[in-house]
Amino acid sequence: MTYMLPIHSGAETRDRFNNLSEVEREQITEEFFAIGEAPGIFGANQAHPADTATTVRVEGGRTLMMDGPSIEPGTNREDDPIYAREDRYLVLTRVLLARSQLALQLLDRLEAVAESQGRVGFSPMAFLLQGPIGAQRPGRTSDASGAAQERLNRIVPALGPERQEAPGAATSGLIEPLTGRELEVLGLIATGKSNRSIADELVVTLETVKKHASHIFAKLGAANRTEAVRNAQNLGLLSTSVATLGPSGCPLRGCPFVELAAISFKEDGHEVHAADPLRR
Amino acid sequence: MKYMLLIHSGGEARDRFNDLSEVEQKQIVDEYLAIAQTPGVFGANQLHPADTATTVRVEGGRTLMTDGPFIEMKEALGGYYLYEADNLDVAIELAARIPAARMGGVIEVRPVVER
Repeated sequence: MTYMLPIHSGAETRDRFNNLSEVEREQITEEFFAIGEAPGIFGANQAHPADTATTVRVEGGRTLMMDGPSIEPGTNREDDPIYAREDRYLVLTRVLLARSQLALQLLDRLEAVAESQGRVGFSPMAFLLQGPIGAQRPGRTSDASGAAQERLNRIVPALGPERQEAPGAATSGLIEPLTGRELEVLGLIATGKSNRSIADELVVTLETVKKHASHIFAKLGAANRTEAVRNAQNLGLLSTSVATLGPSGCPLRGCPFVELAAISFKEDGHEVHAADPLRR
Repeated sequence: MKYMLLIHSGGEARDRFNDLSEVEQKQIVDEYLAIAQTPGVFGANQLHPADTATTVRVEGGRTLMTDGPFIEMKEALGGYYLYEADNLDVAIELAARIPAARMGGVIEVRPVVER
């Protein structure tokens, strides 16, 4: 039997490669060459980056050309999710969760497809969501995060004792506790969002966000955003630290934790480019 | 310059091919074989359908496998040609001759890194 091994190595893989030192890159290249020399290998080529691609199709006898690859890394909540691309859908789910309830519907369908194929005995997807839920919506238990939290409470106990505590916000240790809204703003600050985007997200004016921020800084004795987030983490106000969740910090054994710098998806017919909430 | 012509012929393109009569299918296959004989073409393969794919990645030293293609079925890779052409325009001309291009599929033309 003859096999073709197409190597999909765009975006994140490319970034990771480019971030290596020259020596490390040389080693990787040698690995590729060594595989090219392996017995049984009878053909190998490296393609130039995907942005050099031209896509061709013929309609009504006319040749239509488009710059760029035919495979758009587009990942949309309307897709029939493919388990092999779970990582992208997880990032999209986090992005959507930060935006709307539609995230939970996607999560449901991701879980359904995973379960239908017998892939997982538990739900890594839901567990991974704990990060953005804890960080972005402290103190809020309604809406999308409430439902997600309920789901997590069902699933998390099955995963071990380390992280069973709910990522709710504790307000002890402060002379003057933060209000629910302030916790919410703090959660968004912790994700690296600007005042402007926090205002957009909470549908309030920029002035209001600034006012909340100054109250938060005063209560936490912080001079700036970084300090506020650090103090809040020390006080357990952000029970899941955005900064410590990551490939190495993933509490699940072998969990498919992936961070993408950003993900593109379509919303109301428009292409949206959003950063992974856990990335920042 | 060497080009790889990736034939994305899942979904609609596959359905349309399967709906053809046996005679028409034979004609299409002959077209593919004729393209493979074009001067400059130095490699060509047809792949089994995308649902025969196994997708592999390694995380934390563990090899993770999933059945099925990495990309969606409708975009799935059906085969390829390797083509030595003077320039991109020549490669695009050949790409436009590939039956999948007019049957609902697309051809992605990618320059190959010279070694």
